[in-house]
Amino acid sequence: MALTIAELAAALGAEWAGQGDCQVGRASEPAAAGPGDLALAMDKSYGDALSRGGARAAVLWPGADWRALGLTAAIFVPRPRYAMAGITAAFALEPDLAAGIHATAIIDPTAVIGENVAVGAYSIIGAGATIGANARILGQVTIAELARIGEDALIFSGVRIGARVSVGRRFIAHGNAVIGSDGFSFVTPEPSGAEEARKNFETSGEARPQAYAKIASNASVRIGDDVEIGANSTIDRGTVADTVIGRGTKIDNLVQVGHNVRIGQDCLLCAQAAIAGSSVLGDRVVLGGQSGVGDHLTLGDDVIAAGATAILSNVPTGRVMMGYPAMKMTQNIAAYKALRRLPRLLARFDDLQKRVSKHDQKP
Amino acid sequence: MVQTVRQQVLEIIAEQAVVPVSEIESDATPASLGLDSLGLVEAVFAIEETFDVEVPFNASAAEMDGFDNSSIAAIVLGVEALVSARARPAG
Repeated sequence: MALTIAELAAALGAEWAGQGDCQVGRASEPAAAGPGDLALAMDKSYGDALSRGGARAAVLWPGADWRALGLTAAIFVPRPRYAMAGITAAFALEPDLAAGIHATAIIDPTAVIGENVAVGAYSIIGAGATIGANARILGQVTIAELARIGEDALIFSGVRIGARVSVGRRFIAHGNAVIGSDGFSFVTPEPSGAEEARKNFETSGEARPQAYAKIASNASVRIGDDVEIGANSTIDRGTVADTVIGRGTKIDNLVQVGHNVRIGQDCLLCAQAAIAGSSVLGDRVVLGGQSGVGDHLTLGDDVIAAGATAILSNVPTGRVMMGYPAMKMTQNIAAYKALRRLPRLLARFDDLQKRVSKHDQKP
Repeated sequence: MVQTVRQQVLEIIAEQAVVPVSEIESDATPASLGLDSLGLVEAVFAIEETFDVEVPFNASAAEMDGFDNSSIAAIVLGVEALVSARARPAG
C-alpha cells in the first residue's frame, strides 16, 4: 500500500518538507531502505545509516537538514516512539480474512451476529452469544454461550472465549489467548499447612492428609473497551463476581490473571506477569516481565514493578517496586549497593579486628 | 598511573555498554552509549570493586551526589579523585 509523504504526515499530524507527492510503500531501517521505502531515522545518530541506504524519503528528528541528507521529502517528528504508532498503523498488513461467515464455521442459531462480521474457517460461536458489528474473527476461534463481544473486535486464530464473558469495543486478542478459564480455587475441610505457613511463616508439622474441595468459578470475565490480550495469555473467570479488566489495559503474551482479579484502566502487563486470585490493581499499573502479584493484594494507581518483581504485600499509589520480596526500587538499589560493598567492608573489618587484637596483646 | 585509571574506567564502561573501548569518546555520556540508569549502577559497582573506592551515589542512580556523571571524561576525573584520596595516608 503506497502513501504519499503529505498523506502520511497528515495522518501523523506532523510537519513535512520537500515533494509531498513522493510515494512510499513501507517503512524501513535507514541503511536497508530502497528508493520506494520510508526510512525511519528519527535520531541524529541515524544520519550516517541514512546515507548508506537508498531512501528518497525519511522520517527525521525536528530541524534535520533533509536536503543535506540527500532526501527528496521528509517528515519531522518530535517523539519518535509515539510517531512509530502512527507510521506502523499506516503500513499495517491486515489479516487475510474473507468477508462473511466461512462455510465451515458453526454458528449457533441463537447467536446474534452484528453487521459486517467476518468469521474464519472452523470457528464456533455458541448459543446466545452476541458479536458486535465489524468484528473480525479468524479461523479456529471458539466463543462460548452467552459471551458478548463488542464492535470492531479482532480475534486471532485459536482464541477461546468462555461462557458469559463480556468484552468491550475494539478488543484485540492474539493467538490462543484464553478468556474465562476456570479459577484455581481449592479448600480443605480443616485449616491446611499452607494456611498455617501464611499466618506463622512455619508449620507445626502436624498436618493431616485431607482432600481438596473445589470452589467452582460460577462468574465470568468482564473486559472494558480497547483492551488487547497477547498470545497464550489466560484470564480466569471469577467465583461469584466477575474477573475485571479495565478499559485500555494491554496484556502481553503468556500472562496469567487469576480468578476474581480486578485490573484498572490503562495498565500494562508484560510477558509472564502473573496475578494471583482476588488481587486488585489500580489504573496505569505496569508489571514488568515475569513479575508476580500475590493473592488478595491491593496495588494503588500508577504502581510500577520492575521485571521479575514479586509483590507479596499491598503497594500504595505511585510506588516503583523491584525485587523479591518487592521493595521500593530506590530502597532495593540501596540494599544492593550495601550488598555489593559488603565483601570490602568485611575485609576492612577483618583488618581492623587484627589490629585491635594485636594492640590488646601489647603490655 | 593516571592513564591506568582512565583506561580501566573506560574498559568497565565499554563492557557495560557493550561497545569497543576505542569507540568511547571523552564527551560521550552514559546515555549516548546506551547505558540506562541500572546499567550505570552496575558500572559504578564495577568501578568500586576495581579501585576499592566508594562512589557517592543515591539509590536513584540518576543523581550522584558529589559525583559528576554527565560525561565519560567527568566520570574518569571523579574516579581519579577518589583513587588519589584513597591512596593518601589517613590523617
